Amino acid sequence: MRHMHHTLRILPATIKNMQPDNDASVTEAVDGSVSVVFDLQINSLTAVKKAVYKFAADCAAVLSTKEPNQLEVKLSFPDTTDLVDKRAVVRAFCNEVIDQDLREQIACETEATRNLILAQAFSKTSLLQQD
Amino acid sequence: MIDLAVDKPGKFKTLENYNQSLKEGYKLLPFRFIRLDEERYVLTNDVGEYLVISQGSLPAFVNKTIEPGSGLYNDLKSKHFLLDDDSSIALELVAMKYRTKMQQVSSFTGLHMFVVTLRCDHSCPYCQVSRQSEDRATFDMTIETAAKCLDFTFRSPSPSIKIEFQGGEPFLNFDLIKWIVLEAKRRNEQHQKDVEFVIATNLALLTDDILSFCLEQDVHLSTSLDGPQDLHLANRPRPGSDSYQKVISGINRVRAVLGPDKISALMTTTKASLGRSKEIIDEYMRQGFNAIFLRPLSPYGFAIKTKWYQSYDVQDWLTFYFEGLDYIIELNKRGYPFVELYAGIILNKMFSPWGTGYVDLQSPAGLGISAILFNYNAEVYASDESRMLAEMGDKQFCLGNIHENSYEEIMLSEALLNPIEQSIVESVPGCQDCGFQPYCGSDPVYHYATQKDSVGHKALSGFCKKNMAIMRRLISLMEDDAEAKKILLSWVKV
Repeated sequence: MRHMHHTLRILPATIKNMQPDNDASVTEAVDGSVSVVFDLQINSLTAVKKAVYKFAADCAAVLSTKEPNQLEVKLSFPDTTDLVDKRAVVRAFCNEVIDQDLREQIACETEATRNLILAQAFSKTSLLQQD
Repeated sequence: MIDLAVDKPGKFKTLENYNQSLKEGYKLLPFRFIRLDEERYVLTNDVGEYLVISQGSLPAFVNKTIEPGSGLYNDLKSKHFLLDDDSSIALELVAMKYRTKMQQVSSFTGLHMFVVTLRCDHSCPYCQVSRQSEDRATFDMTIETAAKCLDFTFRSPSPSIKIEFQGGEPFLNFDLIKWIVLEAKRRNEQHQKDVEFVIATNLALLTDDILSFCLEQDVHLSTSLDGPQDLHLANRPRPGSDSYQKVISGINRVRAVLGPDKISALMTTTKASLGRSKEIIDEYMRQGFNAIFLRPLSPYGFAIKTKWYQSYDVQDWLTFYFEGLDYIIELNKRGYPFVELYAGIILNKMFSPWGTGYVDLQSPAGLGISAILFNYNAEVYASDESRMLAEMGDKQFCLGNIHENSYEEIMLSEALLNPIEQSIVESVPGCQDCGFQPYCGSDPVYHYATQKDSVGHKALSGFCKKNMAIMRRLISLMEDDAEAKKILLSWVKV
């Protein structure tokens, strides 16, 4: 069977429920799967992978690169998932990618401080080797 | 009139000095976040502080555009989410708070559970320990085994030792309990630890002799009360169908002889409990309790074999739990002080400077290092749930045999070190970035039992779903209902 994609035909009334808060492109295939394309110059691969992991109970995901810096995530849902639930999951998934990106930024920026705090916290214990 | 703006040498810096430091911007301190709802985020940090902010404020905060001196800026600063030139002491303070939170780990094993028998007079279909009805020789702990278990117990560096007697029904081997209590006290004359004793019992076999011994030796009792008579009888059958009368009469006798604070009760939620949380709470109040621990069934023992565990899912239980929690808050608002103990544990993790010692909600998990269990047959287990799993034929968390293995062999066994390492939420997939991490844990035995993996996939985890839902509800309640917040804060033991 030919794998067809089409832009969601639920505009504009319900697009608010499906559309993510970032610029990811969202399309729904006739088999019910939903593809979301992320620009890897904006969203990191790790952030997308972490979001996929978090939504494993709601949908299965296949990741593939379409073009340089274009990451496609194809989300497949259980047959029992209705359209309303599906839209909610896709929207939450895209928002989770944004959150994961922000988490990466915060972790990177605060890593040195965190190490300093932990070293200070345990400096008077035998956990740190005394040279 | 004194001009405070004049910059003179003295004890205090000038106002301009503070304003200048604020103008130089702020640094982020390490924190995590999670969505509370459609409009708000919860920010948390390693020392357990949390702050709820609007969705738009989070990127503004991370991008350093929060106005110094604003209400949000001051909240972020006072709760250790940001650092500016005016808060040079903050890092040391955060380190000290973190060390205080983690102090329980250095105390090491406090709770030592002795399964003195697996025999029981009840035949509860949800029994998670797979009790036995007969064969005293096979299913009772011997004095020789108990003596070795006491050797092990007093090797613990913890200054506080709690010895908890479990079953089956421990009263069926009460002679051994007496021996252990007296022998532990004799040995403690040398060790000088703070030693407590608790018996987990259904109270059906309570006698005056048992009560006298408990009074003389200051032994506490913990029992099971599942709710009103019909519910308790359905959940906890025994010959004569009198388990409810026995437990109520037992509670009253214990209170009369030992005192009102020497008996506590636990409930277990079965399918028949769903929709009846108010009746169950009313029953606890009627019996004079001022707290209840609303507990779901665990995936072990007869609860699995009889399919009682599978008879409801996490969402069903959460509906039950939140009905109960709302009712308890309503009771408090009407002037009846009453506590839901699981919420109380989480609230303590949020607001107390110390860890709670609740083994399922700590990192690393309390397996062996907070609590350890000696089974009737001399096997040593990492937790109560570990031996429940073993009774189903899976000895994954069996740490050794008290007659065959040394303290060092047991405490340094791979069977213990591996799951402990796998329960450190700071590095567990799915937990590492979670905004609720400071209040949560990663129960390796539960995840092994349900997913055959001690780490577990948290997206598929009932443990994760349950705890995240409860934490969201508690924080939402505190944000949106000032009276509820006051009540919930009264459950924190500082």
